[in-house]
Amino acid sequence: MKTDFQLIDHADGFPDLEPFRSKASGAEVVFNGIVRTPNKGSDVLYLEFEAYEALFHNEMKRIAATLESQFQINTIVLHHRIGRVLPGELAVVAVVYSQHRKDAFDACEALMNELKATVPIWKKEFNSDGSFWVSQTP
Amino acid sequence: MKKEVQLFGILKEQYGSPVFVDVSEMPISAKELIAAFRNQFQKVQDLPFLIAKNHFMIQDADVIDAADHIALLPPVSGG
Repeated sequence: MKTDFQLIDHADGFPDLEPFRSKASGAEVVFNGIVRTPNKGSDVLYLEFEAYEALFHNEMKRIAATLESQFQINTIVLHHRIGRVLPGELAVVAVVYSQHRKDAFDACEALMNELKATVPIWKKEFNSDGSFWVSQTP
Repeated sequence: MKKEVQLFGILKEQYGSPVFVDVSEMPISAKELIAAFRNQFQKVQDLPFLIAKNHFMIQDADVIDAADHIALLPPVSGG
């Protein structure tokens, strides 16, 4: 299985998917996570993402191994922004390639669930009412 | 022996530094190190967090030595 995990510090650094496509993969499922506004009634000015890069790569490898054991998948791509990200910009792109669509859909959803549960990335929201660290897990 | 522990996110911000210096005798368990941090920094009493050793997640019972790279991780929020 091929993987490509990256932390991106600029808005135009998201993946060109052409190199990941192959005749063996009949399905390509892409999830684009976009910074939205408003959020909980406040106008979002921007999000500030911080990551622990070495642990990010180790966690992503662990997640990829788990997904490979659960689904028939050929390639996993996950690129996540760090630094300041404005509303309307991509914060994360997750892509899964598989022979068939069901495994690609299911694995992509599982990938995003794992990302939000264990991968060491933190975001702070700056909005019209102030700022706060977004807390999800643990 | 002093041990530097890397902090992230809200922990770093509230502590006021990216590094917490622990003076506990090594080796020490992950649980003991977390307790030392909570004891020294009361503000995080109610905040759950994870711990990483040498860039891998570890559990409470895992042992930390002086040479290990340690990080305390507040609740993650990627995506």
